[in-house]
Amino acid sequence: MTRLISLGTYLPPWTHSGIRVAGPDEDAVTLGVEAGLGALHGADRNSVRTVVFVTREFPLLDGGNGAALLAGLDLPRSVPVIEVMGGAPQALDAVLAAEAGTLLIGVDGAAGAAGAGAALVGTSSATGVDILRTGGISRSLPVTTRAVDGTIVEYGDPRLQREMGLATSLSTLFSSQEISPPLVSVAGATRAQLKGIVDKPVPELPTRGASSPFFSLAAVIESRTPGTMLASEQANLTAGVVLPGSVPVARCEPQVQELPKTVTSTGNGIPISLAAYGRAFDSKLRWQAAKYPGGEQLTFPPRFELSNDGVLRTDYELVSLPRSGSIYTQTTVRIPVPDLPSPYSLVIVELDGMPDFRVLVKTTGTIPGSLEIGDHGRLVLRRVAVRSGVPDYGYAFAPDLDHEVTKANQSVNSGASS
Amino acid sequence: MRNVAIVGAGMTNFGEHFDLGIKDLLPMAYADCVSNVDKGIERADIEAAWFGELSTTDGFPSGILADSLGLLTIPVTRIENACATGNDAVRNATFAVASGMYDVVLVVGADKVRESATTATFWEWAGLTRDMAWDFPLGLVAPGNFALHVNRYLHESPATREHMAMIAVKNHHHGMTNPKAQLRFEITVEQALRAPMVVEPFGLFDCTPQSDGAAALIIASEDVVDKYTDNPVWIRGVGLGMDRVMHQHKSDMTTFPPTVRAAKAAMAMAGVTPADIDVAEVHDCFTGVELISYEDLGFAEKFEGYKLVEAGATSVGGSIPVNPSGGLKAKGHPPGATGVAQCYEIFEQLRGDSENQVDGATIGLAHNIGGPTAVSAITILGSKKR
Repeated sequence: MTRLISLGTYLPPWTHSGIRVAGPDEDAVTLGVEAGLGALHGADRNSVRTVVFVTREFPLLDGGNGAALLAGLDLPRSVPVIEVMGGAPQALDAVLAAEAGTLLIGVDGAAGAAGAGAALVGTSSATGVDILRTGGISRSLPVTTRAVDGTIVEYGDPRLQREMGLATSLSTLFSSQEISPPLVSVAGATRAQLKGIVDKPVPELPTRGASSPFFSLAAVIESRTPGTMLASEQANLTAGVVLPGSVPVARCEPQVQELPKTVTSTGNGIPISLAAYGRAFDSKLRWQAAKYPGGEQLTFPPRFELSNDGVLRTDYELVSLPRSGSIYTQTTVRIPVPDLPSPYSLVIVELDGMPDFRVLVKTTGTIPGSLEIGDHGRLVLRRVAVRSGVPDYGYAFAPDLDHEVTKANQSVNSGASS
Repeated sequence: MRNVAIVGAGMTNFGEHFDLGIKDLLPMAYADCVSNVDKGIERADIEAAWFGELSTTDGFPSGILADSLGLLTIPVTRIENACATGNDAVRNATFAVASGMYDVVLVVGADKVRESATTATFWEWAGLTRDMAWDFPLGLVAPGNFALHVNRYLHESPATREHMAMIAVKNHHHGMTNPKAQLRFEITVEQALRAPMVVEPFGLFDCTPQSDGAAALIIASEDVVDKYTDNPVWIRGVGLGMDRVMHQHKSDMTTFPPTVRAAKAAMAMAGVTPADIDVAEVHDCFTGVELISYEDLGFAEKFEGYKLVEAGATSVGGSIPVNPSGGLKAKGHPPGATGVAQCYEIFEQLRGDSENQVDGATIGLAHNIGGPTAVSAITILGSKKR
């Protein structure tokens, strides 16, 4: 039995060819951070003992993603990050097996619809929703393969995939019995794939991979329809039961706009200094400034201090900066720039509650050139550039959303009605 | 301190000199400079040299100057202070002569911006001005540097892009008569406003072109000036000002504090006020920068620079002609050379020899601002000794 105490979801604000896509400054780490911060909202961060990161699109296979994920979530560097290569069934299995103190994040990035979901697991004494694993099956029917070198091969037989894949796995799992408690959600399969196999309407979910079980849980909990949920990928299936209960669900799912066309001209790959990168990492990714004991002023980026009489101080501590502010000035680069998708906008943002304290960042989630001096927004983690193969994360300015982040209702026990 | 004068000045044409390397441009500028020393000068008279070069095309700058000009027996110092390099080279040379250390010295400024492929140039230049971890990867291209200031300025003042366009028109018009200028064609305000956008609010005609070129000055003490000319141009004041390098740390982005600081120092040394300046070469890397600089230099009150533009005051024939050479906009901008070339123009103006002459000019000002808008250098020249 796993007790979920909080959920978060994130969908990027872009669409392209009818599919919701990540922006050029987003990857699995930044998507995961958005959802993870939602799940951590209002929670006790000290309770997180493990992070499980599930996706098929890790930004780096070698080089590490965990440090950036922890920094973006502002969790201690000592928290273990377990990376799981997987889709919907693996993500649901990870949630169902998680112990108290686990933050699970599932991300779908570049291939297909993009999005991220996260769940925080608590102790049995915490308020939340219990879920338990009721079954699962692993069968091999690799209708789509993607090898280590990135080569994708499609078998190209949707009927085979449906009949020999999902339908066979479902009937094997449940024999000829009716699914009980009743099926309320299927993650990882399209409506077309479910037609004729699952007759009861289930929520349309925005993604199909590792993030989809989180969207599935959010839908089930918000609609107060506890029951059986499935996670499916090719011929693999995991089944779990969601019991009645309520948890806060923090959704960050802005209205979509068509992804603007950009031009990235050939360059030399933007050289990086790993020494400079390493020195800046914590304050840059955790959004923290230096504060010297006995002083009120914050220094950002952090640096050593010299007094008028030449005394050097290096004993600063890092403190969190506000994550919202208003534009003081801005510009938009319209010419092609080597290695960067252009056009792009840069803004100087005055942070809320800190007059004359400003930061220089790029904008994100908005058409370049559409913002004005005075516009308000949030500072969010994004991938600023890829430099000599290294994802260089930093903060960007996302204008305030059109709608408010929604939260789940406090539900009553709806029973397991069919 | 002794008085110091320019006794000769010269420059190459500015342009895309694909067929000329830095080692060609230096002797070309030197020869042009010497040709303007009224009574001539022997190379052996030169006791020290300062070379302003922003990049390091073909390597070791001081050595390249010494080698290319046959000045191997004297000390040569390379100056680099972003786009303030040229006037800062003048400043250093001035103090060396004023102190009594040398009687005759050479200042050369040069750059070969078009030596690198355009795709490589961008990140090379960004590396010269940006913090490697923090703002280097943001892609704050050179125009963006100044665009952040100008957008805030346009937000707070009555000035508009049309005022910027009028400055571009003025400088192109001035450049028509300058045989050394890179761009010699007239434009209209409509053309400037309709031009493709580069970095907002700068369109194509708001931006200086990329240029190669060199300029040279020979500077002498008052004790020996008569040996070279009866018509020297005196270096009345020099100043250098700094500011914080990261844009987020600049408290008021409607002004350039380095210019204000440099102007204060140079004018104090020269014993002049802004009202005394008859002609100025101002750093119009982007039109909006010239507009803000009118105020920083004291030619206009805060947020009233646009009034000078509307009155035509900064055209030749107006009350404070700015950039009679065509400015960076039309003349071009090899960064190391620009400040030195500005002094060349003022030298010509104060001797009555400029192609675009300001009548009766006796005090002139040369102004650079550069880097992450964090450094400015100013030289004030006069036809009379103090």
